[in-house]
Amino acid sequence: MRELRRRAAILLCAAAMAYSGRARAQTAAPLELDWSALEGCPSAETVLARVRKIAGTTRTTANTLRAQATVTQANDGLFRLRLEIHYGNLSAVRTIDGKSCKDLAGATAVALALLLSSEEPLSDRDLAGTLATGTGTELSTSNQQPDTQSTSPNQPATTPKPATKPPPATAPASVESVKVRTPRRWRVLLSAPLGALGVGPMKQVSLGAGFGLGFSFDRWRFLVEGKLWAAQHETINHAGEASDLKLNRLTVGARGCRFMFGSLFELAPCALVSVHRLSVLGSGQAFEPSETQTVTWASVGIGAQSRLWIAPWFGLVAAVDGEVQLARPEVSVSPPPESHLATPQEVVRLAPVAATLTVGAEWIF
Amino acid sequence: MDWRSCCSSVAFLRAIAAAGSVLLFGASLVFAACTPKKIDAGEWQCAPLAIGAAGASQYPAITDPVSVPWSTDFEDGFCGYPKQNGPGYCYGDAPYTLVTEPHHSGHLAAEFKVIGDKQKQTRCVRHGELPEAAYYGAWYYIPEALKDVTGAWNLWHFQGGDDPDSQHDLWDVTLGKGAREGDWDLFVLDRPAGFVTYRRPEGMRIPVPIGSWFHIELFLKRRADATGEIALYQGDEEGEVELFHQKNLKSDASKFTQWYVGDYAGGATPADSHLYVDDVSISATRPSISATP
Repeated sequence: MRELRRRAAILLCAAAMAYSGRARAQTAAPLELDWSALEGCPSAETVLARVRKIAGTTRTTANTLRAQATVTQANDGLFRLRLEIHYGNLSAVRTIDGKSCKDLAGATAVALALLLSSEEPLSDRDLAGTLATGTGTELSTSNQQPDTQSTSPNQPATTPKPATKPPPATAPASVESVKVRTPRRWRVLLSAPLGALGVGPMKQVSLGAGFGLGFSFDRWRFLVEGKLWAAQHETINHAGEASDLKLNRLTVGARGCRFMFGSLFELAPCALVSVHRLSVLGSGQAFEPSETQTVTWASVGIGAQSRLWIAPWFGLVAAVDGEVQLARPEVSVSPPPESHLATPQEVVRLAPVAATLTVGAEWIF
Repeated sequence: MDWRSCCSSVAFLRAIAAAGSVLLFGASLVFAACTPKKIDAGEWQCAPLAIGAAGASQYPAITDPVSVPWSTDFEDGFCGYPKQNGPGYCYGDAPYTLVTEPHHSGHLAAEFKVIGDKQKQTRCVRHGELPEAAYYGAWYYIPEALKDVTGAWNLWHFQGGDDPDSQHDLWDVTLGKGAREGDWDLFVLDRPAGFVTYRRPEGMRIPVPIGSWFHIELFLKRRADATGEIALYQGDEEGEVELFHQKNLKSDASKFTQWYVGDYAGGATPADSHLYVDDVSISATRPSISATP
């Protein structure tokens, strides 16, 4: 009997050696994880590392275990994990609530590790199995299969049953070989609409509106912003006649920020560079305007931007910026030759510094 | 030099370079922030303007009526006298300029220079159809009195006619030399009345102040018949004195009249002199400088 076992083992090893390369080539890796979570949550790599730690060495299977995990945060502050699992023709959805994203990442790792460790073919029930709640992290689960009603959240946890049949594939494989589909690290950002309140460099307080377009990469974000400021007016009086100067300002700037603090409410220091364009148009009965005069100058500065997550695709942003102007444009009017006045009259000279408060919505794609 | 001192020197030089770079960057920002960029939005125009036949703004014509009250304080330069073929102009043998000191009101006053050598007048002219009766006023500042003149030291001059090309001299407001050295007092030369001079009798004359602002005011009622009227007042910030008041004068009511304000000094000693004028006005009623008898 012992000899028979020894020979069978040799045959199995030989078969495994002969077919292992083919098996790896023919079958997909045992786990594909699509991890989509809020910033500040553990990464997909962290979850997979934990799966590896729990499951250890697993066997290759005929089908790949595909999991799609999405972590969101509800208005009540609770985090919610939606774990959609597919295995061959089987599929199930688990919904788990937790007080922290880290707990949900752990729950995901445990669930997937248990499925990977199963030595018998997986069933719908296995995929929809509930998780133990005894971790002290106050997780609550609900499980459902597609096209079925959710089961009770208090359904007792199930663990994969011990193997009663040999696994379909016989070659052992390590979790190290799992194929990982990590979520995108970058996002397209659209900030619109933006409202702005500026103190300086104009003589009067400025009100403006604009939008921004850019992208985020991990915790970095880069945006190009445009702001159109409400026209300002200056009145000049000469020889009993009032004339009007209309000042229009347009700002285009680039902002680079890195979120340093928070997850639901984030705060990021920023560096900015802007280009301003000021155009002046004079009018009045006793005024001979030039053609529209424009001046362009740059400014650099620093600021702070905050973002409040409302949904994974939407947030509210606010920024306070301070900028140093790299030029101080001066708007003046010329006297008529018959006045014999030599020097132009300075109407406005822009301040060397400016502060801007910007608030608005951000759409995340 | 051992390796420790070598490395500390390198570190020191690096620190110097870093600090220098930061300072240079900061200085560049400050320098750039102070760099002016100028926009000339346009040119303001001297007023009053009238709408011309083509719809464009233009100055009133030379013969248009002078609407009162009219005044110029030189804050808009010489806009009160913008054009010879318009409401008025300035001319001079020497430059007429604007000064910030001394000034009577605002920030600017006009300076009129006489530099001698037959260059004896620098003045501004307001002309058109002047009112039949009006008060003409101006503030004068004479920094230094002339020693003497062989001609006249004239401050105001009126002339008129049916049109700008056919004019004759009318009235002058001139300074006459007083009994004391450096004293000059105002009198009027009335040509329509037969070259008559109105001046206070000696002993009652009031010399104009030298080195401070004083106000000259002339009431002129122009009539074609012998009901003309002339009154001359002299004042300062404290009040005004009526020097004389002549009525029922043979007068002149020329439709076109010119009023010259400035400095005319013929044969002056010293040859070079200057004075300042501010707040020139024409009004139908007497300005609110309190009069003392």
